[in-house]
Amino acid sequence: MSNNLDLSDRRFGYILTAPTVLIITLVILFPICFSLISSFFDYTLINKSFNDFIGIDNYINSFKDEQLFNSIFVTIYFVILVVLLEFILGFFIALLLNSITRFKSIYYFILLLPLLINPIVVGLIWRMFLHPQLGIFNYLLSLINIEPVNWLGDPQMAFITIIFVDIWHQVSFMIILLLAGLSAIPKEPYEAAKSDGANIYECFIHITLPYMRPVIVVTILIRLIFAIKTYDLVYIMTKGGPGDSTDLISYYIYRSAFISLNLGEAAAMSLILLVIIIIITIPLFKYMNRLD
Amino acid sequence: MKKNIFPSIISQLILLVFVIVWILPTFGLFISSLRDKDLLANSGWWTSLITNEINEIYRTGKQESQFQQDNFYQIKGNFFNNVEGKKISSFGVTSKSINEYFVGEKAILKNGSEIIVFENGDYIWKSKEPFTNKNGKRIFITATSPPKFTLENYKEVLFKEGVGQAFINTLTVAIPSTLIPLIICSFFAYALSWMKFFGRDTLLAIIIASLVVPLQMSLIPLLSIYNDIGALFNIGAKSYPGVWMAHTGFGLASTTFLLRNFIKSLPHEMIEAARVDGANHYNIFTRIILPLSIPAFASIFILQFLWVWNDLLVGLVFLDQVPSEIILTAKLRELLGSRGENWEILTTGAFVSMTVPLAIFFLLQRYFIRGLVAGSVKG
Amino acid sequence: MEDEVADISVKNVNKFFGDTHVIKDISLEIKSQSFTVLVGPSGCGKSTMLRMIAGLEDINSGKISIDNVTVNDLPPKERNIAMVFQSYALYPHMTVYENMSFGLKLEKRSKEEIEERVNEAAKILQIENYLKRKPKQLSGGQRQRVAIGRAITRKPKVFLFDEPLSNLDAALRVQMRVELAKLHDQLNATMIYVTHDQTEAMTLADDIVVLDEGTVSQTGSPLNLYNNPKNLFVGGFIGSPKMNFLKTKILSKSSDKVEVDIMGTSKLEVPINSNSDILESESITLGVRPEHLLINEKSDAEWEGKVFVTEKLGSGTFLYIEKKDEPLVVAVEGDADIKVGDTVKIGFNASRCHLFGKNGSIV
Repeated sequence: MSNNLDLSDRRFGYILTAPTVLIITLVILFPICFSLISSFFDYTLINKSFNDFIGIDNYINSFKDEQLFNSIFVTIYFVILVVLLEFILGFFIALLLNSITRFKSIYYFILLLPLLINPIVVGLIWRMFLHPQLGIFNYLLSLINIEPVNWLGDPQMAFITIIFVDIWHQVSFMIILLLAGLSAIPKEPYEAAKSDGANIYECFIHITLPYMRPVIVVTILIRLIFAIKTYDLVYIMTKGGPGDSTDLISYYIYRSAFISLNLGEAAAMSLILLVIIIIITIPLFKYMNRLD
Repeated sequence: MKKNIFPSIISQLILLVFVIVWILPTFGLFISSLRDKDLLANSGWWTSLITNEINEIYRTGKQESQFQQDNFYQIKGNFFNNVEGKKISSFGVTSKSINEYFVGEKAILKNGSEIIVFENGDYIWKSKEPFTNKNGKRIFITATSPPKFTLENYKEVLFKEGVGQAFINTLTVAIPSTLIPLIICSFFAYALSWMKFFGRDTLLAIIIASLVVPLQMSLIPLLSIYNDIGALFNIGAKSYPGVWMAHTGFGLASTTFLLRNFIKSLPHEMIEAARVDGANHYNIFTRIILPLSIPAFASIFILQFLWVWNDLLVGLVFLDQVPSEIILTAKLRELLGSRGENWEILTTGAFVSMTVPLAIFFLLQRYFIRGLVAGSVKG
Repeated sequence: MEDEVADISVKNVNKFFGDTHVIKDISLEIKSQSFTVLVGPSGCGKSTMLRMIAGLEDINSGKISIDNVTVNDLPPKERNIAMVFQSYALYPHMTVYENMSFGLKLEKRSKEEIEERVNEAAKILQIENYLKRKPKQLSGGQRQRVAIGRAITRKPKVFLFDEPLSNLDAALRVQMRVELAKLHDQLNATMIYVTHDQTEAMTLADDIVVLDEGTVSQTGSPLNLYNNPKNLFVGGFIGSPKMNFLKTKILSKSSDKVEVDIMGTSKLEVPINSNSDILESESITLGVRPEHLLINEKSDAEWEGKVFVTEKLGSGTFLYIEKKDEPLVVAVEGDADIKVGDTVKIGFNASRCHLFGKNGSIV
């Protein structure tokens, strides 16, 4: 629509916009610029000054840093597995929930519960559950005569465990969005397909999936962004270990900023991460816009 | 019919399995927080749900409590201080054979005295000679104990470990950090949806793009601005206003995004009708948009509140880790370090930190879901 | 009452949405106190035109004036108009009373005056009993009354209606149509009404403006448009069922009449404008309204055709008769004794037909 705003309205528009612009500038834009600049300096928590210009050394160091590459790989594995598994499981559960009426809200509520829990507590719960002696998992295994597993002690096992815990924590996010999408599908196409003799599988492929496409894209997009930024889970459960098997990039950056105190390099790595996220998400964003 | 993609009974069964798996961890946490701390360190939480056998050591009364009756010196008492529940099945008098005697059986001690222990914990120790021992006799019992829970842990955690204070600190952080972005973004979302001004689309793009910026990136630069700005006003860089500001900034992107989608979905013609009625943007905003947006506000409030409540990183960076400022998640993290094996403190603290989100979720479940779904699902 | 009404003039107005030229240099004069209907198929620009008069859309060039005041740059509230929207556009969180008094409150009228005006409007529209309800608790027809009431309370010089009846069911639509006509008599205000429904246009309007693809196709009173359509578009748009079109060609031409071929079986002489530049043997379109076709009666041009569908309405019958391209529709009074498959004699008189040239305009 168009507005022939009179002057007072225009002024009102700027008043409404000003606080956001101010805060976004301070909290988002300024830090990005700051990061960009500091990534070209030898800027550490001890040497907090822009005296030592070192050009792209931080970037070179980052790219030479095998640790960083390791954590990029770990992160890629992690993100792909987590998003994929959560999507499949979430879609499955959403379909199940969509097919029932009785107890639906109770199930829904319980499945959503983990989303309310902060990551520290999530880590804590699972440390307790996976405790080698007192954890219920090893107890259950002992019932069927399987040796206790050191869930977080073994590099491979730890990675799998982290993924499992993340699924437990985050799958409900997928369920919420996908279920909302499913319940918005009109039932006429299904009735039409039924009368055309389509079976359940064909209905799913030819009706559910096409209708759900926009929702699926949005859901995966949002989850992807958050999955790349995952850090608190490993921070609480494994500290990136054992070795560097669960050293997600966000956690790695956090460490280089707050533990190694090498802010310039952390900034360089953050920017690399930002670029990665943007590269991954742009096609999805574009697709989303096309669907609008 | 879409309702029949899976037959209902199978759906129910599969869902039941998922639901049990999903609730188990939280349930375990809750049970653990209610258990006695000694038990917690020795057995898994699930054991406390069933009646199980325990071995315990008690001491009889000391010599001062002896009295004479029927030519015997006697010491009488109850091991459990008459707390109901436990049932003794057998007992012993030496550590080598702790279940030598059944309840009601007479145990003859080396010095010729005899002890009888009853099922409910009552005991009688008889001797012809006066008792001279100082500490009372050690008795080993084997008893079955029904599930038993206590709120002791909560008392301890809330008042002694400083979790109560952290709880209040977290509220101090969370309430303004939720309300401020909500107010600001309501202005902005209105302007974005219903006004035309220079740079509007660019702004929207920047807002959405800021959703992908990694949090870590902003923290250090932010802290240094705070140092500079704070110095001007003589406020420490690490203070509540700082943390409110940071949360506001990080939350604005998603709150604006969601609210804009809601406001945009309000009927066009209604806004136009108001303009024809003579309303300017101020009137439209205050008299029409705000009252109609209350459900959206509720859902966005919940989302932002949960986000802030569960945040660790921002609270860690922008607040000093002192009792008057530390937030719950940071406190838990600290406890995890200092009291790592004190499960009773950790589990209880963890559950305390979940109370507010749980309460909010229970009360406003409808809005919570609507908020998450707004803008992500068309139609 | 004289100062309560307005002349509206639209001069050479253009409007673009991006690259799309939606209003193409339109000029209009709307008489004060008239009921003018803008009619046309969807996408013809009629709503845009109305919204530009309301001030909800800017104009790219040209001039709109109300009562001799140029309103190009005035916001809606300063144009002294009120508008009724297709979706009613009531404020869902306000009661009917609050909905109707919202504009007056913004004008800072006194409480007594607001109450008086709302009650007056409510009385006219017979919604006095619903004043305390919320829009959600009202039926579609009641909501529409409230929307109209909201416009009335403001006592505007011009009422603008944007397809106000299209969300109502057929019976209610007819009822509201009558009430709108009554309202116009009662209020004596200028009303501009947008619709795609030619029946509404015919029944309500003093003047009809037919719009087609952003231009004014023809302006005039309903009967004038019906009897003398200036072009193929207006001919086809006004009247129900639609005018029948026969593709044919000129056999011979004299100064004031032409002879045209009718279905290859007969010839008909039709008078034309003397300044017509139509040529001999040129293809033209001949339009005849269904109600002007005669069955088994003596007429100027006759031919035979086979009936393939009949629609009996009780009061009349529609016969569909086979023809190349689209079927021919004939409206017959009463219950015609004609069955599907019958071959009938069809005809019409020269005075009842319209000839449209190659570019669609009347000859």
